[in-house]
Amino acid sequence: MVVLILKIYIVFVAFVMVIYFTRHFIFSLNRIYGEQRFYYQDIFDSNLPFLSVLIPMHNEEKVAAHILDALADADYPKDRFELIPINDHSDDQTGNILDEYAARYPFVKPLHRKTGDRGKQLALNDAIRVTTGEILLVFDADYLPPRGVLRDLAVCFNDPEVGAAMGRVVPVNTSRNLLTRILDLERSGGYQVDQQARHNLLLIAQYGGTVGGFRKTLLHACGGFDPRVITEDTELTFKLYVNGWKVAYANRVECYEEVPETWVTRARQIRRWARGHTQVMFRYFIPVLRSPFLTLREKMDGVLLLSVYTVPAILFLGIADSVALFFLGEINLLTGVLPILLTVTCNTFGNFAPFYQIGIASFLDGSQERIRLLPFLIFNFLFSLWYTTQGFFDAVFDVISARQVKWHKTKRFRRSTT
Amino acid sequence: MAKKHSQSPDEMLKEIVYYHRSYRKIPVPAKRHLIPFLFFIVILEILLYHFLPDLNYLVNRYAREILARSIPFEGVDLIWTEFLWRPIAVLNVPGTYPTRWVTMINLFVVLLILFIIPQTRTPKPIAVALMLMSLVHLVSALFFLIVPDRFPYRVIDFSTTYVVMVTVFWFLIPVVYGFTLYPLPSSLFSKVGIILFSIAFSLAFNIFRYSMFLYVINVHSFIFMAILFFCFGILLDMIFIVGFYSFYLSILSEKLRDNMGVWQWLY
Repeated sequence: MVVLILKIYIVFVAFVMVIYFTRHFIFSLNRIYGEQRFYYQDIFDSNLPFLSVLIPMHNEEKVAAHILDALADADYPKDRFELIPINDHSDDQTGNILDEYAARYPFVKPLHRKTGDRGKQLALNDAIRVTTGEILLVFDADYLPPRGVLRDLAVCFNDPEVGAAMGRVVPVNTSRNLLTRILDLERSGGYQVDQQARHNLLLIAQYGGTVGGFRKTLLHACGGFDPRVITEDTELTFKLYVNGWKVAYANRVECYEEVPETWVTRARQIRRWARGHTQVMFRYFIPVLRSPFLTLREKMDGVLLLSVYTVPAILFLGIADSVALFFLGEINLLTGVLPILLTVTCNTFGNFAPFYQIGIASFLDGSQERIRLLPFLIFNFLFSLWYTTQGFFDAVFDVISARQVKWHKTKRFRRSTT
Repeated sequence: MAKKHSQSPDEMLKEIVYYHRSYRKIPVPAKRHLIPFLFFIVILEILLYHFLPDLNYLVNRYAREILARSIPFEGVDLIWTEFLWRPIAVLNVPGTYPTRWVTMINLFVVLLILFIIPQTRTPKPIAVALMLMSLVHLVSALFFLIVPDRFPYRVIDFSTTYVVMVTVFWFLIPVVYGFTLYPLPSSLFSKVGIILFSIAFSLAFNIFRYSMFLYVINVHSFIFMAILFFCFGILLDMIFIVGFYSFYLSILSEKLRDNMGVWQWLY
């Protein structure tokens, strides 16, 4: 009986991998051949909405001035936006830097949080209370927005169907080391192909919590950000879709970010993402299936997107299962299933994005030498498998124990003004 | 592209305005390209099936010769069996069961690695790879420590499994490349070339790996069978496949970067 269950599980794992292989193959074909769904950049709006731009910051003295300079230089009319950097319990020079900018620019209105708990969701909830704009844009502190990014993001909210917008994230410190180069490939696959294909195919485009924005009234209607969910962006995405709103993905609206330069930082980041994403999966799996506002294809993609950080855990258990089957004398079953399983699995070289998806994305981006790093993604695959699985079980334990989740900021590596 | 560097940046004109990367794409290949490509894949699979005994024999023959340098030649049997209704050759060598002493040493070493790695500054991805390998070997060591007489395989079982797995993988190479290369705007000739090269590479690589696996089991015992099977098996072949694909794609990307005849915009 035990052997039978183990055998069924290994076939199940192969089945799951084949489903994701197919999904990403469709995405890759759509992106390279398909009709591309354009964003709203052709629209020139003379009646620009008033924007509230939020930048959560906790000990961001290395990067705070850079993003404030970049946004102060934005081509958006200065009387049509306010900049609210949120000093969230910083104990470095962040607060002073924000005050300096507030003295220099009237549209910079820092919010200093010194009481209550720390965390991005809580910081955003507090800041939203003092905003005056209906459209809220959010940037992480390590981002370097180009001049036109506010205008480009704001324009999509003329479409009454759009609840949130998301731009493309491009690493700025790519050439630092192997990890940053690998993350550049991964981001390329994730945005150039994955997000754009989902946008093209009218599936679930994801709001990523930075280089994006949303309508304030919608967030209020949804009860604000839940501090117990550490990936508030994924939760907002599904809140919006389940209630009939859409996320507009803007591949042309590129914004530069700093990716982790050490594997330790990356491990923490990916484990946190997996944990938060899985928390959202537990909450929204059924609502996605039951939502009257979602089409069948959106529901299918929603379920697959929600489960994306569950796949490494499924695969990890599958590997353990196959080791058990090996010692139980079932090598024949493994002979049949393992090559297929491994072939499909190894197509998940990136952060569970297949190598051909990343290859096509880099090809469309015009990369050359960097594409040759694709085989090195095997390290990222094993690494992601390990830490994402841990993140998944963190989320499972969160549910069982009802423990409080704490927000951990990603370490910054900025060396000088970029 | 700047025409006159003496001009100010605002006055510079571009001879060609390239499509921005955000919505550029390539045209769908004509159906007339698909048919020859599919035809080639099918023919290649048929040829692989037809010449399976020969290809298989080739690997076994050379692997046997390599093995014969460390194991007496008469100890390496070449046995014919059947897979997919075709005769395939497999090698059989005398297997060695680990002594209790060897098992204990392996267990100690693997526990040491599992304990030491997290304490060291080993780069995380390498540490994770080593930990995963160590966990597989830990199970193996514990198995031989607790129930050594229950080990369910002989060398011939492992050898047959290995050969069958590699054979399945040969059949998968054209399929995997078929999926991944077909969308690319390159010549059929170059696509055929990389597929054939990969199969040839796999043949050569498997001669080396097969002999190495059997050598380890013969000399260093069955305790290493699991780690060989799971960590140095097909996973390595996939890395090579991805490596060849990436090299091919990077050359193509360089070649087509400024070729306006290839790129399209939006539709």
